[in-house]
Amino acid sequence: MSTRLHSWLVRRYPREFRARFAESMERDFADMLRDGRGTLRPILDTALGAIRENAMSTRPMLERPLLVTLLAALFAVPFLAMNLVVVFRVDPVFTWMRPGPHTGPYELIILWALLGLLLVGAVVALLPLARAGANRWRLVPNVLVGGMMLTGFVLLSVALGHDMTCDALVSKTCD
Amino acid sequence: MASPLTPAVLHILMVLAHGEAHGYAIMKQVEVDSAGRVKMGPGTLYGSLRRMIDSGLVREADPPAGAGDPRRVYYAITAQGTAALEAELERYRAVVALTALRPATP
Repeated sequence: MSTRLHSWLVRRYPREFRARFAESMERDFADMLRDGRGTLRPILDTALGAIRENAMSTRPMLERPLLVTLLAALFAVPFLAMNLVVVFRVDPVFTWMRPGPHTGPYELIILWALLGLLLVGAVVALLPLARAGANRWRLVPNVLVGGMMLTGFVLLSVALGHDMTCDALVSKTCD
Repeated sequence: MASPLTPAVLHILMVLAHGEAHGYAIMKQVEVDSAGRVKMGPGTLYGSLRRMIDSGLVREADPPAGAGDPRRVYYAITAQGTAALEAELERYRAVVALTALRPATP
């Protein structure tokens, strides 16, 4: 079980890293198990290593802020698509969603998931700011797209949170 | 002046300064050298080794004669790695010398 979990974690490393070290990592883990050197600590270490190596492998991409902006904008596509469904009343999705003042639990989960994607997109768009070089003008699209997505997330979260609170309290002052 | 080495890199260099070793042997020796205080897992070890190979501190080496498992990858310290280790140890010696002259705690 622990060997399978460890192998699964090793497969989460970037491809180039796996090609060089995956076999050694799996053999060392098997040796550690054989020698009774613990299971939890090496598994946690491998998991943290996977996060670290993946984060490091994305660094070169941060040198291309326009590409990052385009990728970040993709996170807004599901949210925009949902809005198009509502505005143009695209059936059968529109009928299933039953938009209205008292949204059901499934619709709420979908709405929060779409808002979550907006937040992820904003973070992705703004990531290159952490590695800003000499030419900050290259980061203007990132700031614009990231700022819009972040603002959208905050405003819509507040509105949705307000609606949910009103639904929960059945407050007449909310209507 | 070179930046200080991370604890993992320092321990790995100290092990390899005494000869070539494969990953698991490095892990075990680091634990022995640090009296059990540093327990390195595969993620930390191979992540550090990758960065050390890329920066020229360590290189892959042929297995020594009589090595058990031929599939094991051995690592050796380079001249640059030896210099980095020396510089780091010198830094530690300077700190120890300073505290001898002027104790850090009253």
